[in-house]
Amino acid sequence: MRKLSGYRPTKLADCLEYKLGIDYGKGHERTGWYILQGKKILRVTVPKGHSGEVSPKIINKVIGSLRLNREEFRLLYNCPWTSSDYEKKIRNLIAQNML
Amino acid sequence: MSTEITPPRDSEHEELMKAVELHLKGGSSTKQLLRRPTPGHIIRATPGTRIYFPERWDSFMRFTSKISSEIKIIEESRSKEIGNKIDKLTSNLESVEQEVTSCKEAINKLCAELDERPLIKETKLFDIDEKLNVIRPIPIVIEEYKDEVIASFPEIEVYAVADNEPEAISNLKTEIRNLYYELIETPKDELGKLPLSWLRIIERLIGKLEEA
Repeated sequence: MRKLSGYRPTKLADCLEYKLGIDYGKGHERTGWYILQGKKILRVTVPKGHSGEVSPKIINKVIGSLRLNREEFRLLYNCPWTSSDYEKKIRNLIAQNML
Repeated sequence: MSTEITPPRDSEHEELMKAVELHLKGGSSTKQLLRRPTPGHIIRATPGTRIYFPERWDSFMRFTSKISSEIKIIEESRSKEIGNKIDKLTSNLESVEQEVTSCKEAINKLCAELDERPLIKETKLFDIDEKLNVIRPIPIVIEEYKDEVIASFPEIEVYAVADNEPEAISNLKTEIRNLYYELIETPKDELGKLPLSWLRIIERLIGKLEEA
């Protein structure tokens, strides 16, 4: 299994902000909602972190809150996935009554 | 000089044949075979005299030559056998070394994985802040890693990270409070299925304290 390393907190936060439109409120952690068709669907927390990389345990939590698998998350983080790819994924989950 | 000739005895020849046969079967060493007394039918004379019986002598020489070649073959095959055994042992030793190396690697990997495994414990929160009333203790999970502590309330997907447990718990309280206000301040028709379930859960646990 590929190890979850090399994710930088700022790049991760920016990626989620620009691609998924997540607006981080004020708080100890960067926390924001993923909104689809005016409804709050998911809530994501990206810790500000102290070191250069987000730890694999935190990445696992972020992946879980975004309802992605590791490969999908990698695609989202590294750019191949656009906001519409993610939206499609979430719409699928809503259609399956999972969200 | 007197010469005494002793006629050869058939029993001596038979004895020699038996000894050689025994040697070829591996029942005696080459040294033991060669140390046998010279048969009387070859030379049995006073010192300085050589008397032999040509027929017996030729037969003995053929026999000796056969023995030498047989011994040579046996020794060659034995040394080849020993060589093969040494080769086999060497290859066995190499495979054992490889297995030991892979065991060492596996143990190191396990140790690294154990280091990564958190110390997990469950506890409850009885207080969030002065403005909120905790109706029921809030169950939380604390994962203590080597370098950080994660406190979480998995059912509503809230977590906080810190260097130590008290700080992680304090951060988690803030996160729970923030989520509570975000949920109650958002009109219900703007909440998806998941946040609505979080709201239901959180309202069973937390309520606003009435101002005096």
